[in-house]
Amino acid sequence: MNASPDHSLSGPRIQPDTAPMALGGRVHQRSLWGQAWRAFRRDRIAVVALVLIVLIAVTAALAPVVSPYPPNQANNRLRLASIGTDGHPLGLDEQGRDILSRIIWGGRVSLPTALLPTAIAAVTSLVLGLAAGFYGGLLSGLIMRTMDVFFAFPVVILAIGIAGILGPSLTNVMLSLTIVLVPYITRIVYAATVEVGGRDYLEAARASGATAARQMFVHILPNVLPPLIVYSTTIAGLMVVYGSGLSFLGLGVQPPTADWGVMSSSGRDVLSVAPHISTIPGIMILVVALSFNLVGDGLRDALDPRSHIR
Amino acid sequence: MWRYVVRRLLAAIGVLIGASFLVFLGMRLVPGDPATAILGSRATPEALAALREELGLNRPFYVQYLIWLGKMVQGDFGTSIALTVPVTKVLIPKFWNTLILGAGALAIAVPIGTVIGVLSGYWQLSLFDRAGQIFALFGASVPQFWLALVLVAVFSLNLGWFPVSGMYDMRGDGGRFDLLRHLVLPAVATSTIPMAVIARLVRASIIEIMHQDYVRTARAKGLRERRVVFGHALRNALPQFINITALQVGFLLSGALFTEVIFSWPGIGQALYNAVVARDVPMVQGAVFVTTLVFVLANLAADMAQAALDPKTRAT
Repeated sequence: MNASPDHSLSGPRIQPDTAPMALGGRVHQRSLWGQAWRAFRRDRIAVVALVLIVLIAVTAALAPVVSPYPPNQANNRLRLASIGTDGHPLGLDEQGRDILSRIIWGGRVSLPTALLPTAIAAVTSLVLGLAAGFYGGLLSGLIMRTMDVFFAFPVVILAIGIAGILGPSLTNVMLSLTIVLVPYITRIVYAATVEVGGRDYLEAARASGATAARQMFVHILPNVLPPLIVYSTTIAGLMVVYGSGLSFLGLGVQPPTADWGVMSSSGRDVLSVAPHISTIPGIMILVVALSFNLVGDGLRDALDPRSHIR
Repeated sequence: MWRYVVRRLLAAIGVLIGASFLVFLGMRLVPGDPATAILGSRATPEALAALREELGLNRPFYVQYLIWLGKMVQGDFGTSIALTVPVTKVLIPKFWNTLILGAGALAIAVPIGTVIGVLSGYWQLSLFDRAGQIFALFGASVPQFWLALVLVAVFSLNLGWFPVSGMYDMRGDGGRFDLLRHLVLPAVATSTIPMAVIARLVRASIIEIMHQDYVRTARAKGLRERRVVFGHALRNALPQFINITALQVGFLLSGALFTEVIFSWPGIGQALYNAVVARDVPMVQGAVFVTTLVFVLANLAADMAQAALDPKTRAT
């Protein structure tokens, strides 16, 4: 996640100079996204990962309908019962609650905890990075040097410090994850904006009297969005891990609310007798994080015309 | 070279001053009165008034910051609320423990990550490359707290090969071997993300280097493939490898927090966690700032090392 020579961090570069209709804007733009979608569809692994994410999200959203039991309903007789117990395919936890139901309900907490900060940070960073890259000068210095300061903190340390100072709650975890993400995404947007700024076609647009808004939205934005989308998708996976990690540490949503991190933590004391209680939620986190990474990789290849050569 | 060093050093100092301001600001964002936050709710009114005077809480904001910064530069982070001892005194031994854990994790992540990265990059798109990529993908996605629990369940509780937690055995001699036995599981759990990132970055840099003109020249003049790889490609990749490795310190410090908490490893991450739970503000500030200091210095060292080995970096 550090600034580095990794291609995944610098993001794809679309090369509009090769497209004869680059100045026409809209026509070129649509074909670009259409092409990207067709390329993405061919990447079978990425498509499977995307379907998996959607499936998990929809199941979580429909929890009141599809969940076999209420998330906090306890069955004392079957406490710690293992995987494959009759009527409880994933077993029961240390309080006799159905783990499958809690996994389904937990998604309603764990997924937004990761995705909301990513989305808010992406929009914030788009504004900051575009402004810094487009206007340059003092504004750019102010924004980017501030980002440098936030960069100085290791991610989890900063998130825990913020959550710790504000006190444990789900909102504070989401707030801290958002703050942690903004500098990283802003750098991506800034780099892409500066790069487009040096291109001939932007020079031409400027010379032909395009307004700042037109330059920004018609010429720069379409080139900034691909790296922004790819990076945000990939980083969303890491946020699922970190968000549930903060809940695991007790800084986020509080028990008895079902959350994958909280569930993993609650099984710690009975790890030797009932390892499935801690293990199953962790597998969910791993599957979701892996899927976001795979979708991110698929998007990168789909949005980068050069990737076919590499 | 010196111009680059000075410029990079000044930037690092600027960043640290900014970071210290953020940490200071953090304390002021704690709901309620800072003096109460530092001394706790059981403090006497006299003690509160004395601390307010000492911190300059009645004075302008920037004066408060400068007073705080002055103390911190001298290594005075204040007194821990929960432990009632100077924060520095608590953090220094814990810092060494975290360093031991970090070194253990690096000792796993660097060789494995580099070898996977080099071979995947060299045999790009081969079966080995695919397997290496999948391995790296898992490494980057696995929740470290969960991996730590799985390791404990399998290797401590089930097989009994390694101890469940701590740094030394209570009944043991506390020797090096005992420490090593305690180190294995936490180090493995901490190493996953750095290992995955190293593998991916090294692969990318090898692929780039193998397409360079000097590699083609070396091959064209009839050098053996082994000479081409070891004498030319890897030699030129070395500065980047060092940089990539040094940049993993942030991940190490982040991951170490989870593993330290789970394995009761008495490091700085565990100290930060305990301080957060106890709402021990001076301790949180101290731990966050010390960690940040290490992170910034590591990045600085990474850039310096790369600049020393690779003249191209200096020119930019």
